[in-house]
Amino acid sequence: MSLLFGRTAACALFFLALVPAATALAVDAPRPDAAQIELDQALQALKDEAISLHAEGLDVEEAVLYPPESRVTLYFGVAVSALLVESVTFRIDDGAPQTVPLDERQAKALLRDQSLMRLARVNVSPGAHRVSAEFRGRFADAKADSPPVSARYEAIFDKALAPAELELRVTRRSRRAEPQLDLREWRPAR
Amino acid sequence: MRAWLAGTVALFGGLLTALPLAAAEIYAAGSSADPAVRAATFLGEDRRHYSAAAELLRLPAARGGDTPPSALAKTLADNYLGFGVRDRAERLYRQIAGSGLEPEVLARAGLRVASFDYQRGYYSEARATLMRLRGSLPESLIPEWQDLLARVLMSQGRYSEAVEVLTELKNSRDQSDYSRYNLGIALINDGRTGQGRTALDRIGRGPVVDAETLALRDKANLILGWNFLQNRQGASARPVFGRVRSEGPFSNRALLGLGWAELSPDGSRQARLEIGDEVSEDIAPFSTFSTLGVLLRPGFLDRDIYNRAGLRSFRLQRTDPDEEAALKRALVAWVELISRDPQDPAVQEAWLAIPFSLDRLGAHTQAQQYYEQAVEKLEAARERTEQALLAIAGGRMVETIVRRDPDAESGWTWSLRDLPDAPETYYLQTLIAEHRFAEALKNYRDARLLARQLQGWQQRLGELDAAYRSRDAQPADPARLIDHALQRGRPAPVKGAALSLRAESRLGLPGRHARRPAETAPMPLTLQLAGTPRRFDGPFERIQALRARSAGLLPAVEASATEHRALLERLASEELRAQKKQIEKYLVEARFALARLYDRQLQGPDPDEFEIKK
Repeated sequence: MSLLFGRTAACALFFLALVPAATALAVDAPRPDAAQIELDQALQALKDEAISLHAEGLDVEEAVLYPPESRVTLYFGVAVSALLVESVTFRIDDGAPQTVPLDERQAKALLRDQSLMRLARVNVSPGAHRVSAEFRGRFADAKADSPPVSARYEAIFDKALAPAELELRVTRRSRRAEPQLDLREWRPAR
Repeated sequence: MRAWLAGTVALFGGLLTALPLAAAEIYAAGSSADPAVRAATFLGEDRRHYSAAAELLRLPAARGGDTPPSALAKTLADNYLGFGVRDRAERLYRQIAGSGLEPEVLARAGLRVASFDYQRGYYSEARATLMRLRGSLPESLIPEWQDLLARVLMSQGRYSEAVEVLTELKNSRDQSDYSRYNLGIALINDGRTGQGRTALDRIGRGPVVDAETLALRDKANLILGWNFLQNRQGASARPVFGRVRSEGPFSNRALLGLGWAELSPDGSRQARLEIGDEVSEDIAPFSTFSTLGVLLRPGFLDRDIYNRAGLRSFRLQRTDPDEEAALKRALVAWVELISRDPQDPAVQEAWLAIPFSLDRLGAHTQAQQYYEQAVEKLEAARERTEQALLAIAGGRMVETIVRRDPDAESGWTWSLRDLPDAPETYYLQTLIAEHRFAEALKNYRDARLLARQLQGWQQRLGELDAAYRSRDAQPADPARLIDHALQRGRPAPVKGAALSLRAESRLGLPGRHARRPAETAPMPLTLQLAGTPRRFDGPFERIQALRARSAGLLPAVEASATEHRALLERLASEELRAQKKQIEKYLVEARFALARLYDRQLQGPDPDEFEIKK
């Protein structure tokens, strides 16, 4: 048998058998069929409705469980670049201290666009109340054995009949200064 | 840790001085300073798109008929899209198009919508969105836009237009390796084979930056090698296959191709062609890792490979020396290949290719033995495939894949990080990487998440209802109210309390008057009962309405989850059935070859049979 024949036979085998590799040039896998697209569109509508229901549910829940005259919402934000917060501990009046751990994605999320993490929503009576907090974290470029960054803070806030929105914020006065915590209250413009 | 605890104790032990809070800061509702918007931004960045969208939707500015403030609308749209609610997101993006947001922000949003459409298979919509963006694109986003539009056009089979998109702006240096790879594929599919091969060759010889570019380089070499092979240009295919890593996602198919390339005609020499504005330059192939060319280089592993394959003992006779050499080189690649995953089609084909070559070499006995082993291996592979099909039919496969992070709200941005340790998912790696499967998988997860959320709301609303009703059942205690009032020294406004009344003689009309105003007749006052309001929207009524809505929505969501699971199982079953069909095709080949060999034995000694050394 000639070499040419052998090669022809060999090529015949691989052209017969190796369909998957040969079709690799087609680049794209089959597109979704009509049934799949219809399912996707139907689910989009259900998602839209579910988000709307969730929003209204949260509204009612807040109205019943956290009436405006007693509601206090406590947020946490970080205004120090590259500071990755690992945990925040807070306490309102004589309540038990509560610690909220943050994973890396949440710590990074807090560095974006002045974002705020909602720590708690509680009911308090009108009048003066004490809020105290502490955070712990580290800079993204810190060495593994460097001590964690932390700061504490305590303040008195006055709860009026309107809902109170408080922001615990990590700041620093200059690039070389140590991060510190402060608290500010927000009110909507009338 | 100890220091932290000590600090915490000190903090909450009241050692610090309490400072009074400064004056409140004012924000415009729905603006980027609004704490609710900022909290939703955090949720979105944490990929909790469902919660983020719901929190934003609670804001009055998002509910009104007017266009919400642009910061609010942008964040809301981002999260709608993140959770896969595309139409709502696009409407919001359109609303804020003229709101003064930076063009780059809007262009990025448009690219995300188009990317969503592309992945979900809405190619026409994706193309329309990208063409609309064309005139307003900042320069920094042009390569991304070109890449996405080219992929959309290629998915529609419009290869010529894809080539034009990737070359007309003459910005090849700004484009990613992925875009240049796609250009190569588009050129070949458009019939411009020479240019396409040159583009793939550049990627296949380019520098490696990370694992992704390494995989892309292997893929380019694999595609290019098979393209040469299909066009009977074995001499060109061989070095290209040799550049593929010896261990990697494309190494098995490259080994198979390398073997066939040894048996393929050499073909003609290939010239490199110009593509667009690319500058022709020689690139030294990167080779700090083990490639097939290194693994199978002549004289290095040949002896070992033959030993492993038990081929040491035969001596060839009456075979063309060139053919013999080619067959032996092919065997080197294939013997290496059959030591790998027997479920891989490339490995299965190698199990047939080896005895085919041995038969051609005249080693009929060894060929027969290999065919018998091939039948055994292929039967086992078919059995495993059937087991996997059963696992899919039993619903195990989909559940295994989505078991991790069931409550993640990442929606469209969710991705499967690794495959669970189950055989059926392993056989479906290629399918799972396809958009049609991956997007259906995301939808299935989302539908299940929605179902759990709705079930949770049914319970929460029930509890709220009970709390509200119990609050109504216990009105304020009058005695306690009176005590409270008396403690403050105020008269109690109730029956029985002592009230002291006196006439006020100094009352007058407000303001200053030069003379006493004329007395006027009192206005007749008519009072009547007002009608009851048509609809009262208090907490109780809202709770009842929400309970009814969630009860209606839940079955639809559960049905959607069931349909998506059925879809996933259908896709997986089709893929496995195709694999099984391929295995059965190989089995027929192997059995036919075996029958031919048995038949030959029955006919007596073959004059071409070689001598076996014991």
